[in-house]
Amino acid sequence: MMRDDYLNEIIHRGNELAMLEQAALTFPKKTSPVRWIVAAACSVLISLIPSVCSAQAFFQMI
Amino acid sequence: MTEDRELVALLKAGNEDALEQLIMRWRSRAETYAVSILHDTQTAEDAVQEAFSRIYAARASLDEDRSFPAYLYTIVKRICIDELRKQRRFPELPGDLPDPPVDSAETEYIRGLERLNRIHLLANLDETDRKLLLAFSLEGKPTKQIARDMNLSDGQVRVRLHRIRRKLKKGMNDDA
Repeated sequence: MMRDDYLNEIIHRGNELAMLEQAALTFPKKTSPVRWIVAAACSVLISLIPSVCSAQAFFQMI
Repeated sequence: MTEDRELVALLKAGNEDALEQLIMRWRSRAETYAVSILHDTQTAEDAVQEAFSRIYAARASLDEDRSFPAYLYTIVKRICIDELRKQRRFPELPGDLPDPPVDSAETEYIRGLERLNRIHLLANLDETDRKLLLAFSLEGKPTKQIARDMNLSDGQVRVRLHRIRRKLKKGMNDDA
């Protein structure tokens, strides 16, 4: 009973955590902080452009 | 009866029966300790189960010459503190949480273990972040493909990955 449920859940979750750890350990090597900060900033700016343009058009109409 | 240190050595070699024996030996006492912090049986049981999972994930780094209950109780306490924070019952945690019934020098040592700290941080990531991390880092998928698979924009994926990276880095520095 315990082996089937409780223990299996622990092993399953433990393996999931071990896999995440493996992913985290390779993660920093694939990314440079500067590149990611620039990418993050650019995506924020790009997502803001449409709303800025609409706001500008709105105020021009007024 | 097999000593804890022998069971830990077997567990490190991947023996699941050893884990089962350690669970049978320590589960109930760890749950009693968790209840003394959380005052809720179900949440306490979940916290102990999660603690055993983290021990299993980090099994290769366990030191059989250290006290097994010290590992277990230290991790249980940490999970309980997170649970209290999640419940927002204690925005500022009370300083008088019960200490684990083990040698404090052992718990200090275990609290400083980088691998357990890393697993702790990863265990607290939300589901989307966990999927992103696995897809990007382990499966090697490009951000555009991840964005399509997860119904997010490429920008959102990049921002989230950047935040995960920062969270992991900051957490590791804070915990060190």
